[in-house]
Amino acid sequence: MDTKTSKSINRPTGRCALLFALALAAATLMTRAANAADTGWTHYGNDAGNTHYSSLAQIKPDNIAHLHAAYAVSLGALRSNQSTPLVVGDTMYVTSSWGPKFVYALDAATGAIKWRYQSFVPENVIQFACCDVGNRGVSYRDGKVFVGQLDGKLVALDAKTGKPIWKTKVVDYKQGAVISSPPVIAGNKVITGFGGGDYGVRGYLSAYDADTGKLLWKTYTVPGPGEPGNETWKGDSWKHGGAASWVPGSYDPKLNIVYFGTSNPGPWEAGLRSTNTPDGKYVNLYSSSVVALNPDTGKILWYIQYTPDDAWDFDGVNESVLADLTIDGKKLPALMHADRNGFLYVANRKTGRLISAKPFVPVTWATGINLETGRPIEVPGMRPTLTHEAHVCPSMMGGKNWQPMSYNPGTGLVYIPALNLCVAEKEDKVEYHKGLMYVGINPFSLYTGPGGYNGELIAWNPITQAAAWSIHEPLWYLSGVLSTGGGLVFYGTLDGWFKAVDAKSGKLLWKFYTGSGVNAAPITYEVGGRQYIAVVSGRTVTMLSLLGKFAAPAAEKTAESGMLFVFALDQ
Amino acid sequence: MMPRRLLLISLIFAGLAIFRIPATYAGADAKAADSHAIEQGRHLFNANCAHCHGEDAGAEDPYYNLPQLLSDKSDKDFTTAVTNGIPDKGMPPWKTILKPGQIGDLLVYLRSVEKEQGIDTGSQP
Ligand code: HEC
Repeated sequence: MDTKTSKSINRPTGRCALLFALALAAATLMTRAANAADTGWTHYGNDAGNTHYSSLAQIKPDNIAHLHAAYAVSLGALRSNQSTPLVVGDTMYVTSSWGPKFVYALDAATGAIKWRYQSFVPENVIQFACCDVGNRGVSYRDGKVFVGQLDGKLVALDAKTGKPIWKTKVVDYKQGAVISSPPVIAGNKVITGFGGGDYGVRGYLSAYDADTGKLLWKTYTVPGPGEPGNETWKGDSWKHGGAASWVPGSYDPKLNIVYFGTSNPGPWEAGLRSTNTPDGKYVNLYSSSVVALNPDTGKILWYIQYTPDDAWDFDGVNESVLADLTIDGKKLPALMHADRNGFLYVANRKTGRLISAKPFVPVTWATGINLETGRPIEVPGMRPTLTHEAHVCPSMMGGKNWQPMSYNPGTGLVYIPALNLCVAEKEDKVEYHKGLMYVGINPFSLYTGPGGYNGELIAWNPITQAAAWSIHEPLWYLSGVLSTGGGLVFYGTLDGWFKAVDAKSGKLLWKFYTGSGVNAAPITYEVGGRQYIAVVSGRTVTMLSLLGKFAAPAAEKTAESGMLFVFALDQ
Repeated sequence: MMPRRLLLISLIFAGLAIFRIPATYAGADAKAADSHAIEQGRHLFNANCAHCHGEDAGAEDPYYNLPQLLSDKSDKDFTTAVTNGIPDKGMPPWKTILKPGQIGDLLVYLRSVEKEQGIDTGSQP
């Protein structure tokens, strides 16, 4: 499909120095106490606010030429290795794919295995995991490691021995509900969602006692009859309404609020659950949204629905990055979110009030977001129907997928692993069958967005809502991003490269060939006075297979794998 | 990337492949019926099977590449696998979801891909 059929809205761009200076001036400290004891990597996003930033600065632009592999570890499972390792003290906790098949505790300085937990998750989970058998890592609290499994179980392991302390069933995986992300820890509560928006699950979040695994609360993200929001579903479509939270949530301990994104509504075929028209009344709450909850009660405090009556599989799952920004001289407790729908949102994370929303990739389905109502201003003809093939940017892969972005309080920029893909798609009749995909978009074909590149690392100023710089990448599905106090940004590509660029200019400073596509997010930590960078390599199979001919060039570049690589400066 | 044009090309190829089938099978009506079955089969395939077996049956993983897997399997093997599934491996049973005629269309489609790709079939009807 050539690009002339797609009307693209120019996103604000510019490499101008002025913007950058503004960004620097405006950047303020983020919520975490930076610097002091920032040696480990104790949450998925390093901090509970999901910044994927570390203040460590031993490795920097002027010595990165001396960065070399310190060790590598085989994770023992192929396909879709997406783990973000944690480092607590001198121990690294990292998972493999397939369940995870294994959770490892490693000596973070040498890679030596301290213990290895085997989940024995059955092989047939692959039927119930839409988008491959990935696991994004574990959570840690007070001597325990928590892992969500594709077989719908949540397990607490003894961090010293790897022995299970408790194991709780969160959800029946045979309906197509799998846990692929680490839970959020809020006090003594372990809070998890699960995936399944493409299998017609009815999403919920549930909290468990960290010591015993006892269920404390369960909150459906699709309201049932009698609950506010149920009227936003046509007929009884809410029963298979999706809105599943499959990407890690965020937590603000000071406000005591947890934030979870929710998936697309089920099925993709919007006509079954709505009028499938712009500004229709069936918006399908709380799908393709972020929900803010009280972690003690599970009560939903507020929500932002990024894509009402989502007809494009946009999801709202992408992580909420919590940091404090100064806008017009006023301090804002911000929530930043790069949505699959192509808009980057900045909101007040205390109240849910939208501050700004601007496209960070080419967007054709909406011309903007009404900040009062949160409603996108939709372009007519962009909704696929049973009779109309819509040509839409971004595609169902989103302007950004689950791979986390990084917010650097030093530069004031978010570094977004963005995708420049569009799709031609039409609806197809679909029925619900337990354990089978509940989609109803067929056929669809992806094509490259305007400009001819498929991936882009964008350094984005969330205050001015404009790009400071960006790097075009030939392939899509970039990895998660890490930024550091040393002025570096790390990310990987589907053809196996792991790269470091200058956080201020985007200049390529270093690269390492990992031998398989990199999808996971890199981390950094310090042990024994030495700073390390770690990343898991091992690309997805399903996502490439699913996208067929479009993905073939990426599939040809590397084979599947499952390796942890750790780097340090030469001694 | 022009996927729709590719799609068209692959349909044309599929048509050519049928044209090469022995004369007894290649009556005008049978040909028309077959290209209809191929079209139906392809649509059903991409709706129900593609997220595991790849768009247009093109899964890169050899365990999922049906044109390859089916090359030494009989039509009956196919029908049994699709009807009952292989639940322990994650292959769903389709007997309550697809009608026998639809499973037949899927088979005709997959055999056409096998031929299109020049896979040497030792399959027995
Ligand atoms: C949820 C994933 C999934 C879906 C959907 C799926 N399959 Fe399968 N299929 C599998 C798996 C897994 C296997 C077993 C592969 C192996 O033997 O390792 C399999 C095996 C098969 C086999 C047996 C191949 C052989 O070696 O004999 C056939 C035939 C088949 N599938 C056809 C289909 C058709 C037709 C559809 C759509 C109607 C379909 N499958 C949908 C996962 C799936």
